Amino acid sequence: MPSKLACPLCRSPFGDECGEYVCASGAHRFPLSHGIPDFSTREHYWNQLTPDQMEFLLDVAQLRGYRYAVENVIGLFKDPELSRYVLAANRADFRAILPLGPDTEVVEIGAGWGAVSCGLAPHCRSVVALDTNPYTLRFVSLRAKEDQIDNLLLARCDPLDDGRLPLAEAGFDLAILNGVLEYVGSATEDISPDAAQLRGLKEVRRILRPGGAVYVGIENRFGYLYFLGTRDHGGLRYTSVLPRWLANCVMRMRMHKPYRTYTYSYSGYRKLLARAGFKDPRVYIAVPNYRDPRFIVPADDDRAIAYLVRRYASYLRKRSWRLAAHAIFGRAPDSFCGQLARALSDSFLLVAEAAP
Amino acid sequence: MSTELVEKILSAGVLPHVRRGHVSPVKLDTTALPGGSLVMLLFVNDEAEPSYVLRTPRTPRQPQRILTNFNSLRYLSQVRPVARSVPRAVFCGDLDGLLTSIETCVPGLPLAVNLRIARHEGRRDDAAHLFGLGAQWLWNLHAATRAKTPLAPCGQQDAEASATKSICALRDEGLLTTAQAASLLSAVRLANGPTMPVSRVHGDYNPNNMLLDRRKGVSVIDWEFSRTGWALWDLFTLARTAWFHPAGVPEPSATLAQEVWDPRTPFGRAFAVALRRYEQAWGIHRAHCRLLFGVYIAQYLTEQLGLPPLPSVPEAWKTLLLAAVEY
Repeated sequence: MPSKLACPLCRSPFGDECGEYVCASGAHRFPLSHGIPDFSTREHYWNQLTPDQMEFLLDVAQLRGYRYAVENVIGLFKDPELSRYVLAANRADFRAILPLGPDTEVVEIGAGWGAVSCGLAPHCRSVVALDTNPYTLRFVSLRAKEDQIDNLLLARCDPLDDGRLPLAEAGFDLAILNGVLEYVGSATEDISPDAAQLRGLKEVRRILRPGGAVYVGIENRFGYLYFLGTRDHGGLRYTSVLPRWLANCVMRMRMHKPYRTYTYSYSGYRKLLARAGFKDPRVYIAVPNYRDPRFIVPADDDRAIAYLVRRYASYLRKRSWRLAAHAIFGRAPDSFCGQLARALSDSFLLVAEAAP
Repeated sequence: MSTELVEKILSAGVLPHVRRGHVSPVKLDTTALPGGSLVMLLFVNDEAEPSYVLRTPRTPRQPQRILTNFNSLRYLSQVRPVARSVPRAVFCGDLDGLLTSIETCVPGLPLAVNLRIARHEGRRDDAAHLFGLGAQWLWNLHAATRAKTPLAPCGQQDAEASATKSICALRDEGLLTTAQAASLLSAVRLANGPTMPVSRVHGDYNPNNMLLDRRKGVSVIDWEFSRTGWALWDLFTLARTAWFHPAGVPEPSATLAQEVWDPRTPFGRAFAVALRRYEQAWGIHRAHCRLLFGVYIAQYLTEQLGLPPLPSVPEAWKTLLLAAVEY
C-alpha cells in the first residue's frame, strides 16, 4: 500500500528510506510518528476533545482497549452521546450505496474516529485513512489493531483546502468524504470557500481511477432543522439559510470571523460535483442524518419517500403533530412528499462517478 | 394466460389468503429483529407499501447479501427496459423504534405457483407461455446490459475452470465419451471467446423469484447473486427450474428430457423461441447453444452430486445431457 502514497508537494513517489518518507526527487522528507506517516506541513487541529484529553484517552485505550476507553473516558469530558457516536456500527451503513467490491481500493479523507474506515475495510481490498489530527489517527490505529483489520493504512495530511493530498494519481476506486466538504474552506483564507471546495474536489478527482467514484455525506443547506433554529457549522442560528453575504455579515458581527462553512441544496451539490469533474451524481436522503443514518432512501424515489414520511409521521410523539402530519402528508401526492424531502431533508449522501 | 386459469390460480388456495392476486399483509415486528440488524425494504411493482423485507445481522462480514442485492437493484434501476420491473429498495440501518412495525404484502403470485397449477391441470401450453414470459424478460435484461468486452472482469476464468472440471469428472465417470467431453470443452472455450458476450445475469433466475401481476407483468426479486456473466446460464436455469426439474419434484422424467429440443412440444417451441433471440441478435449458432446447455447441465449435476465418485445419475439427467451433446 505505500505505493499508493506520493509526495504532496511534488507528487513524486516515495523511495524506500527507513524511518521516514523521502520523495524520489529527494527534496522532501516526511517523518513517521507512532508508526504513522506525517505529511502535514502546517498545524491544524480539529476534534471534539482537546489534545490533552486525547492523550489521556489514548493512554487508557492502550491499557484497556479502545472500546473501554471510549465508553469510560469520553463521558468525563463531553456528552456521553459522543461515545455511542464513536462506536456506532451504523455509521458505515452507507456502504450499501457505494460501488464497493472485494477489489475496491478506498481512501477516506477526514477519517476522524475511524468508524467508517474500520466499517468499510472488511468489504474491500484496502483503505487509506487520512486525517489532520495525529491523535485520532493513533486512536484509529489502535482500533484497527483490536478489530484485526490489516488492510488499513493511516497517514496525516494537510486539510483538503490546500488541494495537496499525499496520494498517487489515479490510485483509488473510491474516495469517501463523510462530513468533510462543509469544512473545506474554513482552514484557509486565501480563496473563497466555494473555490476551496472546488479545488478540494478536483484534487479528489485526481487520485481516482477512471470510473472511480466519490462519496460525499453532508448536510442540506436548507435542512428543516436550520429553519427551526439549529446552529450550523459556524455556530450561529439561521446563517445556513441566509444569503451568503448576509450570513458573512452576521458571522463577522457575532463571531468576528467570516462565514466559510458552505453547504448547498440538492441542486447545488449536483452542480458543484459536475464542475469538479464528476458525472451523474446519485443522491440519497439519509434519515435522520448522514452521520448516524437509520434510513437511506434514493432521493428520486418519490413513492419510497412518501411511504417513510407517512410511516414516520404516525410515530410522532405529540398528538397535534401527528394530526398535522397526517393532514399534510396523508393525502398529498407522492411527488409532493418527494419534492419536500429533497428541499428540506437534513442531509444528503451523494455518490458520483469521475468523468473521463 | 387464459382467464380461466387466472381465476383458478386465484381460487386455488395454493397460497393461503389469496385475494385478488395479493397475499394479506404480514406485519413485520421490528422490535423482534436482532440488535443491529441491517434491513432492506423492497417495493415491487410501484406498490406504495414495501412488499418484502430483507434483514441480516450487522456483523463485520455478514451483510453481503443485502449489499449485493442493493447494488444490483441500484444498477438495474438505470437499465431502462427492466427498471420498472425490479424492486425499488430502501436501505435501513438500526430501526431503533423509528418504525415499530412494517407491513409487507406480496403483490402478485410467484410464477412458480402459476406454473405448478398449470402443470397440475395438464395445461402444457399455459406452462410454456409462462416460461416464455420469463424468457422474454430475461432477454430484455441481457440485451440491455450486454457488455462490450467479452472478457469483462467478472470471474469468467473461474467459470471456465469450474465447467472444465465438471466435464472432466463426468468423462472420468463414464457418463460422457472422450469425444463428447471434447465437444463440451470446445464449447466452454467458445463461451469465453468474442462470439459469446457477457451480460448482467440474475444468478438465480427461477420461477420462485418472479412475480406475475396480471396488470403489470413480470417483476423479478432476489438479486443477491447478480453479477456479470454468461447470459445463457440464466435462461438454462429458468428452463431447468420452470419446466424440467421444478423445486419440490424429486426427479424429472426422461420424456421431459427428450422434449427440450423437440419443436413439436409446447415447451420445445417456447425454448426454441427464447434461444432464437440470442442466436439472431448475438450470432450464436444453435449447435453452440445446445453444447452450452450440456455444459450447464454437467456443471449442475456435479454441483448437486459432488465430485467423484458420482452416485448413480438418474436416467432423465443422462438423457438431457446426451441430447445436448449428440446434435
